[in-house]
Amino acid sequence: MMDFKEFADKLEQNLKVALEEGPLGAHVQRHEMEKMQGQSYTALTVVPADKNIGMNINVDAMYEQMQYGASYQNVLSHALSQATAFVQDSPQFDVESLTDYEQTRTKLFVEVVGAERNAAMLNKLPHTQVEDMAIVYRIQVAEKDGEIASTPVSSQLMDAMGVTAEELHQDALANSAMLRPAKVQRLSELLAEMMGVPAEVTERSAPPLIVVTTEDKIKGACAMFYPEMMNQLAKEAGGDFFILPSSVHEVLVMPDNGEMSVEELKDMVASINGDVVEPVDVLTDQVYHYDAKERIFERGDMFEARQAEKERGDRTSVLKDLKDKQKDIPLATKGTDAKSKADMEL
Amino acid sequence: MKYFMTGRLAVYERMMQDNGEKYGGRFENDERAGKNHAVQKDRSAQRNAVKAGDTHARHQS
Repeated sequence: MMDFKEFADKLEQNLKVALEEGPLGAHVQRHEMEKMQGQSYTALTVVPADKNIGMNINVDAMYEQMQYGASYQNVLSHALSQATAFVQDSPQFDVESLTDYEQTRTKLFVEVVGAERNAAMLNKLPHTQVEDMAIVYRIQVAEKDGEIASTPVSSQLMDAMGVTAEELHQDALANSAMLRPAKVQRLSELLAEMMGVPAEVTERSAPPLIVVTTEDKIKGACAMFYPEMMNQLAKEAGGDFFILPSSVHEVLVMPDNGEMSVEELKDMVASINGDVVEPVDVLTDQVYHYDAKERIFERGDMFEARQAEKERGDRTSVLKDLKDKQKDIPLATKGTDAKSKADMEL
Repeated sequence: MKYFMTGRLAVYERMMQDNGEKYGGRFENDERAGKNHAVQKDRSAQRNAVKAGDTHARHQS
């Protein structure tokens, strides 16, 4: 069997002969496609002669098909039919218009990914880090049969648009909420809907979980950051809540009723991520918390540390009050060790 | 896509359910815990009834 390099060389050569030298006259070029979530791949980009927009053929995926038993002829014929269909019916797109921010801002939307596992890509993209997650920005370039074609906003493109990272962030969030509306629903209801069974059939977890995603349920975890969403979720949850990052497509909201520790929830997320979630869909192995009163969104462990600090502060101030009182009324503490008494009372 | 989402969410639902049972129904509005308690009471009553019937039968013989 051919190794990957031999396969890629042969596929590139055959596509060039069929597409560049044939009647279609499309241009074929090989390059490394850098993607989020460990999805980078070697691509053969096919650009029609009269267009400035191309399609990428994923060479890694094609090679995988061969490893699963497909013949080279089958793989080549599949790649050729994909490319031919695109060349004959590719969307018209004015790349120059991307730099016109007044036009582009109505096509902006956000996505959220884990910051650590996408660190290399994030170096090239403007993003906003929220704890260990990163909000990145994309532009919808085409839509066909409900499917969206989009391109990421690179630092270079942001500069060309003449916009600051802060403006980009605010505009993308606001536009995303309109372009890809949020969907907030009880988990049991959503599961019943997806499985096509009555709501009574699905289990009801305790405490009840709420799913936050977008209407198309694709890369919808970002909906948690839509304007005013945290406050809306606090109302739904009846106060403080935890966020379990179930995937880049959706997150789960769990009311914080003090029953489960951050450690337990974190273990649950990590174990489900490891056993059930596809690597391409993993968001993070963390748990987040929203303090409805203080309006603070933070990592679960940070929340617990803040709570512990607050309790220590409260204890110190009660202790100080007691000591002050003891100084004011010396007779009351006569014959006793004021400090140990105060400690015992605490 | 839909299949994967249903799978992982069903696992979360199940794990939260197990935790609800672990905490012995201390969650507010824990309908399931209440239901389990009722089922347990039912089973226990049935076991006692069977035991009583069994004893009664032995006395009869």
